[in-house]
Amino acid sequence: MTLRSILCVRFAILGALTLSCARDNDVPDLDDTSPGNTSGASAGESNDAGETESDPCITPEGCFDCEPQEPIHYLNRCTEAVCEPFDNAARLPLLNADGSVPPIG
Amino acid sequence: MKPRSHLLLSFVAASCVLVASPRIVHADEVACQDLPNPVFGLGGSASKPLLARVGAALATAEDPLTVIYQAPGACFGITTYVDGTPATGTASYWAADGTELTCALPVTGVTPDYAMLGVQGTLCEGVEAIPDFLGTFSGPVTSWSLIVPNASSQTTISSEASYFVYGYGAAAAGVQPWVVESETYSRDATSAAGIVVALASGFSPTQLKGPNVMTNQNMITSLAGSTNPEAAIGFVSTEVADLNRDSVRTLAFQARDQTCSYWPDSTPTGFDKRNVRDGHYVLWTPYYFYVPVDGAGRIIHDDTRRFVGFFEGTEPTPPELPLTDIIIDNGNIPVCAMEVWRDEEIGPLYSFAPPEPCGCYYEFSVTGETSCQTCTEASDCSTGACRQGFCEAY
Repeated sequence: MTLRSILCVRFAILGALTLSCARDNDVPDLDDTSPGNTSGASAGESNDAGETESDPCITPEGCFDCEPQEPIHYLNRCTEAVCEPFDNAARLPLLNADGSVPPIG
Repeated sequence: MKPRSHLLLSFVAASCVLVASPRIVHADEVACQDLPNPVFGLGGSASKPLLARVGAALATAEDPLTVIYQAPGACFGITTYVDGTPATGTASYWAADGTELTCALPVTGVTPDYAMLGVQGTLCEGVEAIPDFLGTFSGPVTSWSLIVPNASSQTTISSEASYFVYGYGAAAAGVQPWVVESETYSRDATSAAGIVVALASGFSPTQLKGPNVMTNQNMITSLAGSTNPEAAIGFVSTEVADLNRDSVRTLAFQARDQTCSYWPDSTPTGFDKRNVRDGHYVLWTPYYFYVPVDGAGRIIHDDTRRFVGFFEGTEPTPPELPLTDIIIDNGNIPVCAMEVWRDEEIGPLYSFAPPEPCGCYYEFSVTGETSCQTCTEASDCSTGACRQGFCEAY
């Protein structure tokens, strides 16, 4: 398998993965960007609308609190570990509005 | 069970000898093939600290092996078998006290007894498939760190940011503070570290930007010596980063589709590799051994079969080689302590149940505490199985 096809497969897989919830964005907004957060306690505040997630597996802080069933669940599973959000929108001037990246020339 | 935290201090002290200020003695004119039971490996520099520890231990064994290793880059380990280019020059081996020595390879070159890579060999350029005459054997897990000098104020990075800094180009991308191309220390597509960073950031390793520093050890030197530490960034194996926490800091990493960035450890200053083990930290791979085998898949060279067999668990380890403890002390993770796995580098994660779990033992080894029940025999465990003094899940 060529490297290009490996990358294509990977992005197809990531594109197909979604947290099983009804929310406006794939990734919840994180209002609390102070370091030293634990994603179980406060990976961020509740989502930008202050709405309760309809998916019972998603906590108000935005982490996944059930047995992982999909790869994305492992990435965002609630944990006591310290985490610190990186604000892509604020720090990446060339990031596309939809969160994608431009191609490398 | 004696806490192992005291070993961390000796591990750090010993590691300073191995990496921060290595005592390399040039044993002029010593031919590698004349050393006792030599086993010559070729591959990446990330695994060198681990091999140094193993080599030092095996040098004291009643039936010693001499671990000899040359580290031009991970992919050189596999391409030497693919294109037939023999290894030449000098290689490292280790005395019982950990002193790194050098020996001379044959002038006409030599095919290595094994290759050791921190990524699957098929991710190397020109390697469409692993040659049929090579068997693939597994080693412990290593994680990979994007790092900054300790003088930097930065603590975290995302996959998208790394894409811009290392793929798009630091100056053009404008991701503050990493906007100085000469301070974006890098590797090329022959490096396992480079391949992992590129894949996790969403671009081809052949597109890596930044000055190539050639080895993990040089990366540390480059960052530690940077005159613009706020702009400086690099990447190494986490075990190398951990050995050099007096100079560099691992950045927390936020993968695509991840809502927060995580360190390999549950805290920025810990050593528990919690987030590698449970999948929150995505920059990890197992080490791979690629070794010439016969038609039945058996390693041909006796001493290499023994050496690789220690890692695979197919060969009994001598008392001088507490391999699981060496792996843990080096900052690697034995496969038995992993809770997630994947079938390709930076690919989709799934739950993993190792055949003989050692998560409790691992946790106690790296933190000095665990919630697991201790035991001396199976009947001590109300559930699960008694392994290495702890009631593991099964």
